Amino acid sequence: MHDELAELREAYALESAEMLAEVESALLTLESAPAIGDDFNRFFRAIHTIKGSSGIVGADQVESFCHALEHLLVRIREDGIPLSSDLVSLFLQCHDHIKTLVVFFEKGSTELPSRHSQLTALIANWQPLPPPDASSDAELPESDPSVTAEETVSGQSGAAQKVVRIDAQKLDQLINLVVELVTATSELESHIKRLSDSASLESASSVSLLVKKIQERAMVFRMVPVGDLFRRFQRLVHDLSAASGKKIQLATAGLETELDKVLAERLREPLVHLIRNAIDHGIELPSERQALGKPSTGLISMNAFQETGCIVIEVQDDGRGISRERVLRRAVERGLIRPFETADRDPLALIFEPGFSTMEEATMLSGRGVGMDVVKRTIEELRGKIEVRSTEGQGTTFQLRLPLSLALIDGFMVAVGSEYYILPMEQVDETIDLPPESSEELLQRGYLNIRGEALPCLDLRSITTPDTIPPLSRFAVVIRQEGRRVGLAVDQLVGEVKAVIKPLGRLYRDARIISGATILGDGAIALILDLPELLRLYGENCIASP
Amino acid sequence: MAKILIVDDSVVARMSLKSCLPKEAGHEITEGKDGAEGVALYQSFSPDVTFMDLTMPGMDGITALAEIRTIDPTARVIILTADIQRRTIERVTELGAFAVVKKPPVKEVVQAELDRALAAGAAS
Repeated sequence: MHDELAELREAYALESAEMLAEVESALLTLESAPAIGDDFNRFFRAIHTIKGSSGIVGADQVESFCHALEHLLVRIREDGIPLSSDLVSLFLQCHDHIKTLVVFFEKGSTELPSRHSQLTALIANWQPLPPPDASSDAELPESDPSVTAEETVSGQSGAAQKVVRIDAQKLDQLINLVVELVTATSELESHIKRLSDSASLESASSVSLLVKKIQERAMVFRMVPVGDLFRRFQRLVHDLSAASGKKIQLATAGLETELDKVLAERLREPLVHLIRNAIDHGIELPSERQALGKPSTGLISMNAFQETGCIVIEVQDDGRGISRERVLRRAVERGLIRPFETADRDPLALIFEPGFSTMEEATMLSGRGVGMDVVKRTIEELRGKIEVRSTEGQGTTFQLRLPLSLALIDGFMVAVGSEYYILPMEQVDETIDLPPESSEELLQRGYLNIRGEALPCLDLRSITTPDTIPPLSRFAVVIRQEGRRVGLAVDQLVGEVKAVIKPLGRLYRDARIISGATILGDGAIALILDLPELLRLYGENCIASP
Repeated sequence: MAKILIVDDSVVARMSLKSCLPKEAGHEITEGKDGAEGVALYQSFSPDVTFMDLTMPGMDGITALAEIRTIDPTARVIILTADIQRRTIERVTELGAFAVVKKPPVKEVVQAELDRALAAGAAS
C-alpha cells in the first residue's frame, strides 16, 4: 500500500512538471497571439489535468488553486472575453505559483507561498472591464482609455465610461470597407461635378466630408498604445537575465504612445531580437560591471515617442557597447569587405549586413540564426528606418523610426506626363525649379549644380517613359536617402497629400519601384514610389557621372 | 475476470483508478491516453467495461463516448471526471454513459459501479 502511494506521488511529480511545461508553452504562444483557440484549450486541459491529479494525491492547495483558475478560464471561454496581454501575464504568474505550490506539497510543507492569497483573490475577482484609470489591458484598442474617452457618449457628468469590446478582425474588415467607401465617394463626387447640378453637388460634398471624418475616426481604432507591446518584454528580460547570470532591469517610457496595431504586431520579433542582443552581447556580468565601476545591475530601456509624422522607438543598454575594431575585423573575416576598405566604411552599419552574424558564434540567447540584417529588413518593409549608436564601454542604442500608420501615407505628389506619383514626405528635403537648359544638362551628365552643390540627379521621365513631350519648365524634388541627397526631376509639383495606401493590383506586381497606390479625388490613380528601391536600381546612373 | 479499458491522459489518474479496482478479481486492464486511442482500443480489445476521462488532448472523452456507443450501442462506459457541471452530466447521459463518477475516484464507488456494469453486461 505504501509502495503504491509512493509510486503515485512519483508519477504526480513527473506529470505535474510535464503539464506545467505544457502550460508555459501554451502561454508563451498566447503571449504573442492572444486568442481563444488551440493554445488556450491546451492551457485549459493542462490546468484541468493538474487539478485532477492533485485531488488524487491529496495536494489540496494545488487542487483548489487550479480549480479557481479553471473557473476563470470557463468564464473567459463562455462569456467570450477576449484575451489580453495582461491576462496572459496573470496566467504566467499563476503558472509560476502552481509550480511553487507543487514544490511545497512535495516537501510536505504546511506553509503557503507568499503571494498565495493575493493571487487567489486576483483570479477569483478578476473582471473583464478595468477601471478607466487602471493601466489598460488593451489588446483591442477599445479598451484603451485614451481611445474610449473619445468614443464615450458624454453629457451626463460622472457617468461611467462605456467600453465596448470588438473583435480586432471585425474592426479591420470595417476599416477596409471605410477605405473603399472613401474611394467610391470621391469617384461619385467627380461624376456629379460633371453634371453641374448644384444641389446634387452640395449633398455629394457633405457626404464626402462625412466619409472623410469617418475615415479619420476609423484609423484611430487601429491605434494601440505601445505599452501593450513593451509590457511583454518584462518577462523576457527577467527570464533571460536569470538564464545568463546577469542582473538586468528593464525600464520603459512613453507607454501611451500610439501606433498602428499591425505595426505593433510586426515589431515584436525585431524588438525581441534587439533585447536578446542587448542581454547577450551588451550587458556585462555583475562582477565585470563592478570592476568597471558600473552598477552591478544593467539597464535596458525601451522608449517610444512621436516625432513629426513618425513614431520613434529606442532600445538602449548601458553595457559594453560595440567595438568598431572587432566589427571591422569580423567583416573582413566574413568576406563582407576587403581589408583595404576598412577605412571608408562606417563599422556600425556593417552589423546590418547579411552574413555578419552567423550560427556558429550565435549563443543560446540571441542565436536563432536571425541576424541584424533580418531586423533591418523587417523595419524597412514597414517603411521604417533603423539606426545604431554606440560608445564603447558605455552602451548601445538602436533607434527605430516608423510611420504612424501603415494604411496612410503623408506624401508629396508630383506628375510626369499624365501620371501622378507620391513620394514619402519624410524623405522630401526641398523642391527646385529647373530652368530649361538644366534639363539637357541633367540628361547628359546625371547631376545638377544647385547653389554650388553638385547634386546627383535622376530624371523620373527616363524611368517612367511617358509618351508626352517634356514641358519647357520642369522641377526637381530633392530627396534624402540614407544621408545622401538626390534630385528627382519631374514635370510638375502637385503638393502635399495624405493618402490611403491600397495594395497594388496584378498589373504592377513586377514594378519594384512602386510600393503601393492611392486613388485620387477625381478617380485617377497615383503610384507611391519606393525610393530606396528606386535608387538601388537606378542610382548608379546619376552617381557615377561627374 | 473481466476486461477493463481505462482511457485518461493523466498517468496519475490511471494509476489511482487501477488502485481502486479489486486486485484479487484478476481483471485484465488496458490503458489509453486519449479519445482516439480509446476508440481504437475499444475495437481491438473489446472490453466489458470502459472507464473514460472527459478532458483529453486530441479527441475528448465526449466524442470518444459517442463513437464507442455508435460502434457498439451496448457498450458500458463509465465517465470519470472532475468536471461535475450538470450540463456535462446531462450530455454524457444522453450519449449513453453507463454512470458518471466524480474524480478523485473513491474505491467503494468505483467498485459498486463496476459491479453494476458487469452485471448489466451479463444480463444482456
